[in-house]
Amino acid sequence: MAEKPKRRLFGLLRSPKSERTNTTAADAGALWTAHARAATSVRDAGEAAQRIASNIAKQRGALDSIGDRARAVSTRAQDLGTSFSRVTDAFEKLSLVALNAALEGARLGEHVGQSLQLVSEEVRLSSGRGAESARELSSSLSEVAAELAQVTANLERAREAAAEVAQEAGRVGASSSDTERALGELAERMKRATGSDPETAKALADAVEYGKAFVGALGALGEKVPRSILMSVLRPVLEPLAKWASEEEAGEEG
Amino acid sequence: MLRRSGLVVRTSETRDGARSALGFLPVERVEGIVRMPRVSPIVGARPPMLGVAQVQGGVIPVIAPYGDPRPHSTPPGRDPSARMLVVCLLAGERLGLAGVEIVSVGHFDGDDHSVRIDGERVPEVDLATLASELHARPWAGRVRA
Repeated sequence: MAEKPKRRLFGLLRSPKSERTNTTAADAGALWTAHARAATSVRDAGEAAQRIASNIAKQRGALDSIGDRARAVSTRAQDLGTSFSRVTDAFEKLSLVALNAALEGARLGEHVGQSLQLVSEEVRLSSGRGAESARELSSSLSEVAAELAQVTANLERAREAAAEVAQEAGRVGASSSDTERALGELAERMKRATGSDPETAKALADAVEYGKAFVGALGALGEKVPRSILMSVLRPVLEPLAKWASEEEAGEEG
Repeated sequence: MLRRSGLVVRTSETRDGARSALGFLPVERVEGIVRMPRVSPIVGARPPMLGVAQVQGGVIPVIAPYGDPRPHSTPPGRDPSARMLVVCLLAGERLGLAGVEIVSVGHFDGDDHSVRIDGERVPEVDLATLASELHARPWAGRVRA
């Protein structure tokens, strides 16, 4: 006598005939899940590389602008240095003129030349102070120019580093694209090898999980509810399932 | 006590460590003060002769009896004595005196050989001796202002 469909169903659920089939389905599910994670990660990496490249381009633009300004200020500082040299030169000439005026005052005699000497002495002192101030300003300006040169050099180094980062980001982006293409090919091969696709694999995995939960719930209910009541309640669900299992088994045997 | 007119100069510190000192140049021995011109060295000339320079249309000998101020002026151009030349007159000849800084121009109490500044005796720069030393050197007579 043929085994009743219900028992067959429970038999199928409790002890699958083909462990290999079940394992392959689980492996395929795991493979597709891993594939999806890898694809997401690679896509994220590619987008991040694009964002990095974009930000680096902006940064390089800003660095170029700062470098241009630093060079302009440096040039201006050099011009000012030349101007200060001229100012110092003018003060020194003035000091010499004052010295010669004082000398002429001394020639004129103590009384006649006194006023000339006083004026020339005042001019000489003032021009000396002016020359010293101009020299100090020129010296400070030279220090500023040296600092600016250092800033410009550092900016150039930062610019080179930014260019390298941009290149690396470009390489990362290209690698991400390659990896995405490779993952696409891998997906095609997995479809052919496993006969499944991500949606099917997910549905299978869900079905397995629901099945396990169903069997677990039956086990728990079987201890508390009489089987006759349980079967009467579950019959509308189990009969289609048993019928499907019976047809499936017949197909396998045939 | 005489009243004397002229310049009080300070000699520059020399490379061999000699301290600076004050000297007096009477006004009749000084033609003027100019910026330190470019000095052309003369082959065979020895210190204190620096060389010759073109000053106001003429070529004059330039001496630095207290040491050449140019090589050790630090920082360059900051030493006033390195930037001016006192053009002196001696027996009708012009002579450039380098390496001195003008301290004061005016009238001072003194005697035939010195003046007094703030109680300190400042000897007159002995241009005649310097000139005679120059004339005794091997290059003497090569240059005339």
